[in-house]
Amino acid sequence: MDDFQSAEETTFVVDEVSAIIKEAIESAIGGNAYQHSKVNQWTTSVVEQTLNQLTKLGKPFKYIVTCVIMQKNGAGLHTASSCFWDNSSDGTCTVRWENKTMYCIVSAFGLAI
Amino acid sequence: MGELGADDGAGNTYSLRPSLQRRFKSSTVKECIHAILKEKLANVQYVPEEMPQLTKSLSEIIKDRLKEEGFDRYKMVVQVVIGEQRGEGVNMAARCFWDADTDSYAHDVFMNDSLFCVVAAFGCFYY
Repeated sequence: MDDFQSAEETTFVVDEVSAIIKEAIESAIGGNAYQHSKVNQWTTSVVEQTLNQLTKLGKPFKYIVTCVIMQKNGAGLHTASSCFWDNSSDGTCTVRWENKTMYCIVSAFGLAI
Repeated sequence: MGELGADDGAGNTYSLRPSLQRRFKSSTVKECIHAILKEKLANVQYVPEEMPQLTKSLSEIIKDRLKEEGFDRYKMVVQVVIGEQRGEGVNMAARCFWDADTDSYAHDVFMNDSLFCVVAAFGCFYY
């Protein structure tokens, strides 16, 4: 009985992941305005922080985290994803964030091993 | 017990690694994506009302195409980002926590005068 993991440990918990992503975005780009020279560093830092926190959860998952940061200038942006996986154990979480000068969209995918 | 991989007649044939031919090959996948983007977005203009539908259908088409390629025991994720070209700055990054030996990804970018499209396809082996 002890060998079997409980349901919480083997399914992708969206709320938990959503909180992790929001925290990573806030700390990386929280009060900043869009700067071309820094945006590369920001996207990297958002994904790396998110991934680090996700791995600390210690669940038997493989993770993929993507982040798109776009300057606000009236242009439109659309994202979509299509996945071929096991619905009962795998999941995804996407967080949209914005401030006065930029949009940030972070998607995290968790695939059970 | 029998050695890993050797068929001793008792049926120890469950492979824990994909064979070299059946790996999620980055180059093969990139070519698939490139062909689909070229075909579907050739003369498309950015029209706000149509974009959500186009983005969704593009990701489904690419995922179905990759399924046809026959990557056995691979779980796949396809992400499509389409944006209007207005001179804005955009940056996209991705990081993955996986088994570098078996898992991989491929990406491609398509641009025309009115829009840009980035597709990232990830493949994770299911043990």
